[in-house]
Amino acid sequence: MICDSCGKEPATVHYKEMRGDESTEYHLCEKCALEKGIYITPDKKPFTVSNILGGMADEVGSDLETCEGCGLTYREFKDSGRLGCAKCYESFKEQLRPLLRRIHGSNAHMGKSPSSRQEIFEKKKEIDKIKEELAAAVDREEFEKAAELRDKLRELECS
Amino acid sequence: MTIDEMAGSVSPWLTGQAGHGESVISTRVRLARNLAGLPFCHSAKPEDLTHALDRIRDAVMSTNTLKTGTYMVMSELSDLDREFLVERHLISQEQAEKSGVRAVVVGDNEMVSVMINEEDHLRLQSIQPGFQSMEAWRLVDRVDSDLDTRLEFAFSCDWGYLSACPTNTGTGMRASMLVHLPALVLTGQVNRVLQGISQMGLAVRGFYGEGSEVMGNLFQISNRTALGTSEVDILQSLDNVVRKVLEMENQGREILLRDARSQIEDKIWRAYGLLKYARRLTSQEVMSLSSAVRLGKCMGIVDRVSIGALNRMLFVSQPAHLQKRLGRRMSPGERDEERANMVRSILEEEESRTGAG
Ligand SMILES: [Zn+2]
Ligand SMILES: [Zn+2]
Repeated sequence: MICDSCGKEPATVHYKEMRGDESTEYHLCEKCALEKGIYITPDKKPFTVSNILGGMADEVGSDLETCEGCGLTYREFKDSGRLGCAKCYESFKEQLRPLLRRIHGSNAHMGKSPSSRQEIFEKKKEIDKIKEELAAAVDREEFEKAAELRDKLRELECS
Repeated sequence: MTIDEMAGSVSPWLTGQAGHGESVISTRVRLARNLAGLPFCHSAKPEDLTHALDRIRDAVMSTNTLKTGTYMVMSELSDLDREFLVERHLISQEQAEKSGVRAVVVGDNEMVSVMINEEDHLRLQSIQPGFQSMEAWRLVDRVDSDLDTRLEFAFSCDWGYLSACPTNTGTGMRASMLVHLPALVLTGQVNRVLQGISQMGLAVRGFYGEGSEVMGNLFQISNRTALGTSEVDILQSLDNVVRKVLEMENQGREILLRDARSQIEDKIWRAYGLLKYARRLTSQEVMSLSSAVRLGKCMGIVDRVSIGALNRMLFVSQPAHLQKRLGRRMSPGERDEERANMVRSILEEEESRTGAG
């Protein structure tokens, strides 16, 4: 199925909008869906993750997986839209990664970090950046630069 | 400051004197934080919540910003007091409604407050008058950094501050401005503009925030995503969008003045007349009538009333504010009468101040 909006990308998001008694169905690609603001949580009503996940063919993991921190199952999260504890983010990492990307259009935190984690966080940011540069250098077949970046990476990862 | 003292005064962020204050009533920035090592509120046991509450209260009450603040436990407040705090934008509807171990700390001038055990363990907020997102951020950021030395927050290097709802995870920040857009409504452009806003990745809501309907041509514009963009970048894009919307609103006002001056003047003065002489007013009426007068003030049609007084009118005429002020529960009919008295006395005061009476 092709995206209703741009007519180019494959439609991966299937969304039903209710206006009074009328309902309209949309089939959109991720980009167009984000542009249309379909991932706005309908306020007050619990944020229904299942609505978002409904359109994801590539859903990973099982609904019955359980968080070892709080005992929440992934199915319970899909129903309530609320995670039970910070560990849930570890336990359901594989499922949450695409979900967070769909909600926020990103998967990597930018901005403030707690003082106790600042050093690690900033180092991680730097490593991510070098990895990106490295991939780009390899793509462009700039092997000398790639080797240089690889050394830099190794150095950072060891320190 | 006790709730009764608050009821006798006006929130300092309603002065209407800050930048763009005639069209942007207020700016709010809030941060969601959770304690590491404790389950999120809705899945925590009562003893966990009590433990969280104690730790957070002690930490909050020792920050520079809030050490002289007022600590209030939800279960110890009357229904009316909780409604009052909601109207004051100091707690959420959710915090007021749900039972359990919940509290709020309100700073001296009400510009900074912290909700404890709402959806997240902490919700820090700052409200500023007018168009002031950076100032609001500076204040909550300071409290957050201060708390950071006393509490350990749930944080992941990949996803930032972890929140009970994944829509808040990342910076945990929601920044919003309460904007008055009467000309866009009158000229029928508002839906198109709001659609544009949502395409730029922002959300629009009504006066009371999440889930509320639009009244008095007041809209809350806020960021929708929290992960992948730094706080300052989020604020900058909010600022840019609101600036753009204000520009369109001003164009709308010019069109109204050019093409429909007498109709618009008539609408404004009729609204003024009703506010001044009606003997019963509902809060919806006050919102929509004062919106017309505010438009008149901005267009230079009405001179005799200040923006600050119009802001005040909006807030003190809310049901819980009225009842706190009069010190008793009132039926809706009684409230409408008292509301009309209150509005009339504000306008009379303004008229004698500006010599228009
Ligand atoms: Zn598309
Ligand atoms: Zn968990």
